[in-house]
Amino acid sequence: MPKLTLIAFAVTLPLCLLPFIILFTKSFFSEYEIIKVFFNSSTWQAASNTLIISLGCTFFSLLIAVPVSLLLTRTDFPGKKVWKSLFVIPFAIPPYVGAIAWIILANPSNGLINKFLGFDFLNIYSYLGLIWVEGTFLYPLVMIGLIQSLENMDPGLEEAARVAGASPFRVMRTITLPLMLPSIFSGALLVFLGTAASFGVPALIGNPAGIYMLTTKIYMFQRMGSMSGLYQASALSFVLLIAAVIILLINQYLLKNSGQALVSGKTPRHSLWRLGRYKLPTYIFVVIVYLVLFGMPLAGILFSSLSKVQGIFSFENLGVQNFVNVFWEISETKTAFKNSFIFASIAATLAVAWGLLMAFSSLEVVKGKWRTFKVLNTLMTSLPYATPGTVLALGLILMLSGKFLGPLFYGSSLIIIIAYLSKYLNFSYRTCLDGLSQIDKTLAEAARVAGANTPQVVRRIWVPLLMPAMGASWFLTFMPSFSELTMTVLLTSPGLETIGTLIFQLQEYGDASGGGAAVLAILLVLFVLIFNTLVKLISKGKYGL
Amino acid sequence: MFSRLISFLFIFLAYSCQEQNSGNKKEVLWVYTSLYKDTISDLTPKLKEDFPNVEFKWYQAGSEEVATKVQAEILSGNIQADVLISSDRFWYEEMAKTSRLLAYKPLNAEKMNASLYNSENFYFTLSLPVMVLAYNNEKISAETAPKTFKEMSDEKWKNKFTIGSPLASGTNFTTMAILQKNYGWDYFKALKKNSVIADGGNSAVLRRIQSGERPVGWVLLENVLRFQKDDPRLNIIYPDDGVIIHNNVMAILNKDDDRALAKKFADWMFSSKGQEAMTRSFMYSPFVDFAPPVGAPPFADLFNKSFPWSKELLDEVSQKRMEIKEQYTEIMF
Repeated sequence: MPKLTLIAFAVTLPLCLLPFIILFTKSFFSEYEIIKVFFNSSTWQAASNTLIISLGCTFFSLLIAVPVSLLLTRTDFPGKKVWKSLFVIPFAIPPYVGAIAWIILANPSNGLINKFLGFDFLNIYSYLGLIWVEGTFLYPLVMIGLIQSLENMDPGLEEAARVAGASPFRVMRTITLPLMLPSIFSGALLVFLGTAASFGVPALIGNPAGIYMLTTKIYMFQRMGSMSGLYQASALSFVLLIAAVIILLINQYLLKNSGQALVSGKTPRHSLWRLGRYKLPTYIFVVIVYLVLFGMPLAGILFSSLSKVQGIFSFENLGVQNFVNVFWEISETKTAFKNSFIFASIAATLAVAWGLLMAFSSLEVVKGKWRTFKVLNTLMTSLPYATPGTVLALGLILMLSGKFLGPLFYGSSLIIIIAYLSKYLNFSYRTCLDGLSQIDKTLAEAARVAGANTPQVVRRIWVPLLMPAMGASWFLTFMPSFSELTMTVLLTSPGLETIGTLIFQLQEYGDASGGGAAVLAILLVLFVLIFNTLVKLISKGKYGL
Repeated sequence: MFSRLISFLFIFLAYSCQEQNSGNKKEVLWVYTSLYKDTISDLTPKLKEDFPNVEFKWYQAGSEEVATKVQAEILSGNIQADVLISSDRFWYEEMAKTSRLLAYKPLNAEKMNASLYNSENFYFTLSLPVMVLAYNNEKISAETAPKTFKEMSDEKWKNKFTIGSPLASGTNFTTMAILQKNYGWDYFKALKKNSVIADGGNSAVLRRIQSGERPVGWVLLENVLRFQKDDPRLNIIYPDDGVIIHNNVMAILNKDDDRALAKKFADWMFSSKGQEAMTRSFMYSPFVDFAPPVGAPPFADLFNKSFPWSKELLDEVSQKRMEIKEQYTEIMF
């Protein structure tokens, strides 16, 4: 009997599937005719927009992530370590803050870039604008996994091809690229599902553009302020869930036969392509790309955070008033940072443990009826991620606020932590699986033959080899949890303020200059940079991104 | 690694239990509200004086979050909320019809206009936010500024006008519904033609006016009054075709236990202490003789010049909310 698979199933079912089952059952067996939702022309319009934008965004993310990952692992590009961290930082910014930044930069009426260049054709309120903004914040999902798999790949394979006389491009095409495919796929999948389930950017940019997405539509139903609206919202999110399941099944089918072991146990040391006289031009090009992707929006946010009053372009208008306001005048700031840090680190730690369990369970040889459990586990972890946060939060309230569980969970930090864990488990699972699938099983077998017991094998073989993947999973869960907004707003209680609820409060009110959210975004970036660097220094580069 | 993990779990459980056990001696009252944080901080010390043995627990979020949370609690069969204060009157109408609310007439409440409360006493208007137009005088001069809601459909306001999203914000939905009732869907088709930006809540609108991305918008009076002293570029217009008066409503949930404390709290909110707190937050009191918020005209001036709330309007919009939003969506998207 596959023990690990069953344990994983027992943990994943209540946290990833049960909330939805409860919610959907309540909706489909309610007195309202929610089926009507599916025969509505605007629903189909929203669905096709979601498809177009998610595909576009996936493509765009690959366009950034693949070349940059190759450049940072296979060439003698200067300062690779620093650049690796730099390219991942955008992931720490909540995408809707990025949307605000890009609206400041490229709105057709008075966007800074349009003003500066003296034309007005940059219009962020468009399909391309949406894809651009979502993509610039989601591409790290591809890149983190990809860089890892490139670094861990057995260099012997590429070496052998080269020795046999293949040109660098042929090595790339026939060896490296095929080996990269699994991690490209899983990253692309995360971007696709992430875009389809995102809400902040579609609202801020899609609404003024007249582009309606499924999440915007679900949001509309949910904000109907009536029971039937709530039921319709959950019925519609069922569509997103089904779509996610189909995509995941296709993905599983495609990747069925692609499990290669890539880490052989020797320290991988790849022979690097010399960029030679292209080094400087390449460097300049990367700097420019980075400035456009991240530098400009960051400058926009910085400008906004320093503006005493939004929209005035003068030196007198600049100052640290907003920072003073956020730190000293809003009483919850300290509690919010503390709470967010605690909640997000607990969620991230549990997510790593759970992700490892899931990943190891996938190693178990399973046949016949047990196989179903394995596939189910993979599918279940993706559901919360592919659904809008508000729907997950609703399901969790239903599941955890009853007579028995209510006193322990509802209104306590537990429900918030569970929400983060459930929502972002997918990151951790996929990163751990990526890491694990690249390790050659013969290493563990060799240790066993040499007389090691299971704990020893785990401690001496798996943990050291999996460290980078575990560190990456931790950060991938920690960062979005740290500033999570949509679920937290519904699940919070007095004393449980987080950065998310603080941002919500600033967005809604109490923010005379409109710069409060920008201040928090700057703080988030700084915090993640410092935290990541510290972790890296203390662990001598083993953990962190 | 596993022992470390287990100790982590332990800390985590201890942490969450500690929160559970703090301060259980006092009587607890859960208030779910869309009142702003500042208003709550303003109320807290005064409530402490008058209710020394009560711990007030505030869940503060937008009207729609409040509605969603309460509905989820109803679905789960375990309702935590005791008192509701938020601005989506249509929702309270539905809650009253499904017997979720307790009929109770707070002290003084009979002094307010009958259009401001439910005929069976299920809810009462606690304060009145007012929807007006506002503009940025750096971009538009006082002479050229608009005078009415109606004229915003005029072509000269193309690329200049912004509103909140009726799909996301309650006060913006009500405004949309009332203007639609008076000016028809053609009004909104014209707004769409003028590429109006309709997104977010009232703060988002104000920010677009401030940044100059859109120099004119419809927005709540309280938001503008609060920011005016920091940003003198903001100007208020009380439209000639009428302001739109919203209802910030208070209701007590119908639960099995003793509702005496909730009733006492409701009485307090309608007393002069509670009402003064409302006007300090730049909302009007429902009592006509009460002083208006600082910087705002007397209530009678606005009330006489406002779009009327009728029983028919309330019933019709409550019932057809879905269709109205769908139709709006079809025009705007």
